[in-house]
Amino acid sequence: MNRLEFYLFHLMPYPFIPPGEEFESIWITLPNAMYDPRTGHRLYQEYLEQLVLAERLGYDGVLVNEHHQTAYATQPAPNLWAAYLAARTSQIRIGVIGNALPLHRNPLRVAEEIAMLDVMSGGRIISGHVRAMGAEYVSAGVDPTTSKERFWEANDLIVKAWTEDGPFPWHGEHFDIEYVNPWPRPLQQPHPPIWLPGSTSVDTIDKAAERRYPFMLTPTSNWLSKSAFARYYEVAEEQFGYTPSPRQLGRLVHTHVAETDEQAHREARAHIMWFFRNGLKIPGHLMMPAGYNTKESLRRTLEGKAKAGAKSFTELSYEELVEGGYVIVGSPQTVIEKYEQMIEDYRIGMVMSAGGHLGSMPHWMVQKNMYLMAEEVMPHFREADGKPTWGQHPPLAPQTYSEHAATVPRPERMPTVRWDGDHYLDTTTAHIPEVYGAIPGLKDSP
Amino acid sequence: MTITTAGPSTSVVDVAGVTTTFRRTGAGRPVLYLHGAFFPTRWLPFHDALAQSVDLVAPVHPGYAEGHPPGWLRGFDDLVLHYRSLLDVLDLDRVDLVGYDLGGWLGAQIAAHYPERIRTFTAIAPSGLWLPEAPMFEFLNASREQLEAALFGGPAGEHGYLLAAADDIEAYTDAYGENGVTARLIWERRYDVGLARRVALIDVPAQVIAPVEDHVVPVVHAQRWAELLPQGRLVTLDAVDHALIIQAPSRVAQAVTSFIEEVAA
Repeated sequence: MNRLEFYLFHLMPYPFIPPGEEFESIWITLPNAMYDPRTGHRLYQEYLEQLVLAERLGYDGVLVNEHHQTAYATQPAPNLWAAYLAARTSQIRIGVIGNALPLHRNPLRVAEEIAMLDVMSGGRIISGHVRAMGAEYVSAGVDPTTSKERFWEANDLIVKAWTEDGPFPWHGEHFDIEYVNPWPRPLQQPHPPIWLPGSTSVDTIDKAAERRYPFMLTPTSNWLSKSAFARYYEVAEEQFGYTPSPRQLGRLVHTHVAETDEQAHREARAHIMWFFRNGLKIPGHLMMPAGYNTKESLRRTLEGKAKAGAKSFTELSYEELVEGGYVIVGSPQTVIEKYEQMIEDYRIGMVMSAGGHLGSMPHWMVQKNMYLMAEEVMPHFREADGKPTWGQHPPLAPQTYSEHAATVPRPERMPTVRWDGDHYLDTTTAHIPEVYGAIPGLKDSP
Repeated sequence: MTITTAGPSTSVVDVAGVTTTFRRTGAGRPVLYLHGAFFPTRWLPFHDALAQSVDLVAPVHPGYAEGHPPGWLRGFDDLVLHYRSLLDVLDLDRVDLVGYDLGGWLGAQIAAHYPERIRTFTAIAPSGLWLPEAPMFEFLNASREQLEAALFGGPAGEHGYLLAAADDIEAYTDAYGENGVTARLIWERRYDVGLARRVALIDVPAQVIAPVEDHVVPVVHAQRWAELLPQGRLVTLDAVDHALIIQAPSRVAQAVTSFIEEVAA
């Protein structure tokens, strides 16, 4: 088994905006007149190329996600991206991490779209489920005070829609749907893997451990990462009696690799600072709208930060970001050592944003980062064949008509239409005179 | 809990299973005062000014003292029924009803549903009407500075302590919790499309008190309230903004109590 899975993570920012000091927030209020769709088109083409390239380079998966009304991430509809990627790739895993469940008035839409994507892609979809950042509730006008309840009810409804035969009724506290019966059903059984991306909130970690959902930790320091992953193991082992697989734990830590340590810093420094100073510029009242969190939880967080003297993302210097482990920058050897340390310290089996785009990084630099990651870092953590996880298993869906005919049982019912009386036609052969001619009156009809 | 110790001591009653905090002081006609989204739990000079001439009953809406909305609170209807029950528990057959800001919005619904329990209705800078051309200031997603400017029409001066600073974690998170209850009530709709029809059904002596200029609820709202109320009249006060009960407690209290006395006479 490979010791570490590598995922390319994309936010698709629109970096042609003023520095963070010149606007209130990159979310919600940054005037969208700054967005030029012609430049947006160019960026989307580059971002698509980077994501498609990941398959050829041997990444285990590509990850897109949902954010609204922000230059930080111009991907409000991640399932559209997943559809595009499903068409342009053939084997790599595609993760939507995730759909913001409570923002949907009808979460069945997510169940339907993920099932569609899973069937279209041949069973390659990872379904990340998120409550969504507080800012998204300001954008969406959805009540944040019930967001946790809505999240879990939506999650449970989606899982049931994927795993139990319909139609069945769902009469929940927040969603009332008389007929739950989505077509198509997902290809992966019992359903596409569900990931819970999250920050260091113990609520999310505990629930993920309880349900054995893989947990992906969003960018934070080495110190907080360690306690978050330790918590997952502790809850799983002590409360739920199992030892998690390292594949249940992933860390999102942007990594930039270049020929030497010095070269890597030269290349990445400004783009990393764009991300932390501008891309994460959001004031507390938009980040944490009323009712999104409990008073007690917010108080614990703020007191903890004050006690630790923790700075906000926008206040951290480049040196602090590197030393704190918020990002990993260096030569292949440095990156290998830091990833080895992560495996040892956190017992994790997945790394996201392992090479790839961040902030305002130009296309050529992203590709260079990716090639070096694939050729100089990935093999160190893989079996001798160097294959990604998806290369070690046959695809879920037959790849050819002959394979399909040989392995999938014939349908119980062929498409059939009742003609006159008791005569039924198999429509797949109904155009053949020897077949339709056997039915009285049909021979001469126009 | 942010109930301050100043003012009369707080009482706690069980209202149909809901632990309800209120203060009661003064003598005269019973007045039920419903607080708004701002300054919900503090005892204010405005309360003292009212209590000089009436029997003031000032409850805290469910959730505001605790800092989170109770599970049963899904909308205004739940509060309307809660306050009908409170009147029963306190053995108050009829009251003069006064509501500030969101409390005016709530009071109108109580008065529309239970007019027999209401002698007079006073709405102070009430919110809730659907006037898309004059939207309410988006206070739930505002910085302290934006909120101060809107509430006070400029610097809050001596009243600045009423707005929590971000570095005062306890006060800041208390205010955050209070806003969470308001969010439960109005996040998805900062107005009630059906409210105008209900206000028009409140056929009791009524007045609307509003600042000449209001940066939270534009003054056209107060004007519309006064038009809709069958027996309504509008009283405007100058040199104040939406925080008028803080900025001019005596003048507002005087306007309230003189109206109540006038109707009683």
